Amino acid sequence: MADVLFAGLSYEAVLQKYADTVTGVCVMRLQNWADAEDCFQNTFIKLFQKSPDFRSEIHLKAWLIRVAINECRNYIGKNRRTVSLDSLGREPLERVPSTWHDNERDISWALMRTQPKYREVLYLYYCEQYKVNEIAKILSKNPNTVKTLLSRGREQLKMMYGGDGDE
Amino acid sequence: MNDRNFDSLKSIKTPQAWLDKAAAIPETHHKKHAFPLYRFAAVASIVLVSVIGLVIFLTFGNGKAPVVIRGGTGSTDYGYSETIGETIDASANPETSSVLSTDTIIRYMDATEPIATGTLPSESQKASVAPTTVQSSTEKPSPTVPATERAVTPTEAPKETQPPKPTSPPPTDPPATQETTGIFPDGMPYISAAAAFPSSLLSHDDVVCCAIYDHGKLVSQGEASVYIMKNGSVFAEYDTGIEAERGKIYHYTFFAEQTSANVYEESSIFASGTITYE
Repeated sequence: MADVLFAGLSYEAVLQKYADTVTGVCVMRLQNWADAEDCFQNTFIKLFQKSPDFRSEIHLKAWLIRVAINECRNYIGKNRRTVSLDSLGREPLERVPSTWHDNERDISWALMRTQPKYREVLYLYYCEQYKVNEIAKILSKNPNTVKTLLSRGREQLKMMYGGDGDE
Repeated sequence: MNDRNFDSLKSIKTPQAWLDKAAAIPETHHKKHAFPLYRFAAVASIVLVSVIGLVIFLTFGNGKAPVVIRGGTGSTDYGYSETIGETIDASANPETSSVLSTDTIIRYMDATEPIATGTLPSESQKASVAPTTVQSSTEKPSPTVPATERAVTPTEAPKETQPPKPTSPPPTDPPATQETTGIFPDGMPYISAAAAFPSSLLSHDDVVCCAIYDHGKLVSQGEASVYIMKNGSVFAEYDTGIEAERGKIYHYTFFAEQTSANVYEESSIFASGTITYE
């Protein structure tokens, strides 16, 4: 495996460099550590098995995010029918870092409570610092759609903050 | 909003257990083949089935098209083609050359020419096969038709195939049969016979049978397969499953076996002819 390079990086290097990004995407989407771990592992299994020819590290990172999002969607689709009633009333991310609950105004806390379709766009925009066009490519959406999702996501965040959120 | 703190979200650290598991992926998961094995298996199975089919075809098939029924049955009432791409011998009877299929050999036999000397057909039936509907008045003698034979009137024969008016007193009844000669195509070694005749020859209880003789010796006899064609004629074929000998002339006769009242009776002859395997 050491012979295979991904955009000039070995598998271990890719794992070290982008593990947090993939983890963030999965946790943000699934809000459950156990589920997020499954998607995290599946993402890197696909990376190893498919070994795509990446043009650059940017391409590699976008590919990982895209695959992680798809894995999360597939996971949700497969487990939609098996959600227990108990989990519905459960607070998301039971094991989130303690700082999140300490600071109710932390935007990450609010982000976790937005709708998933806004959450992905907001996460990629604010956390991963992607531009609208890049998000559109990653999510295979129209840039205008991404702008709309961003706008509506911000509105939701403002409502959570009581309307005092600034742009 | 950009001023808000996203650090907590970005500060999600991947648990070390996740990293350890992910680092072990190369050891636990095999890389997928660039050319999946199932594709190779699919191609191999297709090739295998094709080879088996080809072998079966070459073993049991004759490599030739099946018997083709030409559209000329209506013109001669009895004409059919048993051969494909064979030579033409229409000069034997120039009158029929314009209406018969070009790859069919039709030869008319004299009433005295032996058809079969076995148990079937009888002597009276032998005589009945003498042609009168199509004949060359200059080369063929006048027909002799027994009165016991079933009257046959070919209604679909065109004018050019109608027999010329004989100078002698015409027979009272039209002939019942017409002699045809077919040639087996190469690669078809089994004796089989086929003929077409007007459906008016058949009565309700008739069972069409066929007998094949080799110089008077009965080779095979049995019930023929009968197909009613759109033009009103009947196409009958009989396959013996017996291998033919090259160059030998086989005589065939399609006749009716009447089964009414459980009486076994062989009656009229629908068609007869010779088959030569060349």
